[in-house]
Amino acid sequence: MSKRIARPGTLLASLVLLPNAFAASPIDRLLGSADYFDPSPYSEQDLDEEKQFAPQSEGDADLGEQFILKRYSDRAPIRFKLETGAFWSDNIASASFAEADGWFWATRADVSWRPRLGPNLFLDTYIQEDIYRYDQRGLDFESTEFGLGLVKIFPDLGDLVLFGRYEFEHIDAEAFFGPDTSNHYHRIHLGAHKNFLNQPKHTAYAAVDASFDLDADPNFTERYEYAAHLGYSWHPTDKITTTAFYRAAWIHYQNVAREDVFQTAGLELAYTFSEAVELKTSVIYGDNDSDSPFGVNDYEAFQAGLVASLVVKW
Amino acid sequence: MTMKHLAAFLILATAPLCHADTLQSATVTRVVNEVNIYKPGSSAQPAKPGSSVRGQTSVQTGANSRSELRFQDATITRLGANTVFSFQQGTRDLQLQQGTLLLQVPKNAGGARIRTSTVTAAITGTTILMEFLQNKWIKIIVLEGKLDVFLNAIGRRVTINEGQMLFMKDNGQGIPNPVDVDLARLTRSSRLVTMAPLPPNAQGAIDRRIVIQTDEKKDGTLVGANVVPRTRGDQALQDQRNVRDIRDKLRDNGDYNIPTDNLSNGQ
Repeated sequence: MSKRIARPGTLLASLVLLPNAFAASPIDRLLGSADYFDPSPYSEQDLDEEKQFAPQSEGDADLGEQFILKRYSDRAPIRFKLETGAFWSDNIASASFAEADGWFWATRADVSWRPRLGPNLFLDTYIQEDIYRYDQRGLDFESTEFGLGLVKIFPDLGDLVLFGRYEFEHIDAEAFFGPDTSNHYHRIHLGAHKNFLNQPKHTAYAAVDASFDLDADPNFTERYEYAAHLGYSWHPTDKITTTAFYRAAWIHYQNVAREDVFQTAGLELAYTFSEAVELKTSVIYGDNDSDSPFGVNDYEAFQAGLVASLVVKW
Repeated sequence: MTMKHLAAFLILATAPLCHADTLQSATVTRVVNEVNIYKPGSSAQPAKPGSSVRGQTSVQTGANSRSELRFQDATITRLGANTVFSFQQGTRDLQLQQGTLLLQVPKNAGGARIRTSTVTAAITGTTILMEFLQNKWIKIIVLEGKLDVFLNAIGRRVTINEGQMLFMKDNGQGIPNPVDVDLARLTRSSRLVTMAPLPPNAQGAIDRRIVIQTDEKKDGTLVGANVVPRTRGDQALQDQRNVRDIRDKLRDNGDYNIPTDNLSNGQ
């Protein structure tokens, strides 16, 4: 067998050809206009990302499951999310009697930041604004929410996620009701989340959380809420996700004799246009069963909607 | 690409590898389902353990099929389903025309180059997985060692270290940065890895990298989890409870004149 010696040009070439990788610009990500695939969203330090596997391809069974790990070695990005959508509901006011159908428009702007503080410990901070506009007078309102807390991940427990945060929420409808119609809440929110199925095409999770109002105005709305969540997502392609979810909450009011069980179940279909733009449509059923006398707080609602969301990170 | 880059790339792409024993022949050591050997001017011959591959021979696998070839210098090539593979006798150049492969090159064997129509991967003592699908995807995963990838058209280069993966579209426009991939999970689920034991040195290096990744997951440098999304599709329905709270407050204040058009919920 012959032995060959490398030409001097090999070394020269190695020196000249410096590493030259690149990532898509924010504009390309927004528009999905990059003419090459940009994998950086898979590795950016963003705990809100739901993409965890490399894009699907024909050879995946031979290659194995390509579960991407996020490397936290630099500054966590600030994430801005804007969602807007229109919904139809068969019980627009969550009414107990004489239900009326109608439309409403919901928009949410959310800024969040989750820097790493220590081993699998992250700060969790966000501020968000929700605007709800209905096609019937007297229902419009706005909500401003701020949260500050911690997220802890336990790799030894199958990536169990625990979170705890303080939340402040202010609801304002005074533009329509007059000056004395705002609500606000100070609450502690605790929870745990676990993916018990995490495969390239299938994801399923279970979560529990509890929120405790420390103070509420008006005080009869002060409540403790304990909720359980189940969800399953099917990813037939990299761009399409279908999710079925269920949530049951037991709500215990602190200053009035009232307990509710509030359940929601729904289906959501999401299409990802680019790394930043997503379109979602959903159908959801909600049922509130209260122990209030005469059923004044019992209601059911069926809702369907279409939502566009935009995510920008920097 | 500048002339300097072009010249350097051409020199690199055509240069033999350092102190390389060239690849002369390979022996088929494993066959799963449909595997054929194609020699120029003759029809396909079904491959079987012990078949020899040399010259301008190519090996093709069918659907749900796999094969393993062992070269004379102990370099191991495993081919996944629907793969077309060949090598140039007397060089260390391997050609992946399509499909998936696992390549394990022993340390000090002289490395190898895997050529596709879009990229060329230059490796030394390394174990890698690679997929090439014309006009679709190129995926390269380094299980141990490291590898340099060159984009044929414009001469860009990226180094992929062990435990990293690169995926890109096969359009020759750019090479993105590699990302970290969970090696423990990948090697457990990979048919090409699990079809037979790897050489102890290579398996030992992979195991060490898995331990490092596990430690990095424990200290939070590498994270595989996502937090609970605060919003799901039912958020709007939950928020409507707030509407009720507002109306409850109005009721509490004795104001029943809610200016609604057609609401009547009996409160």
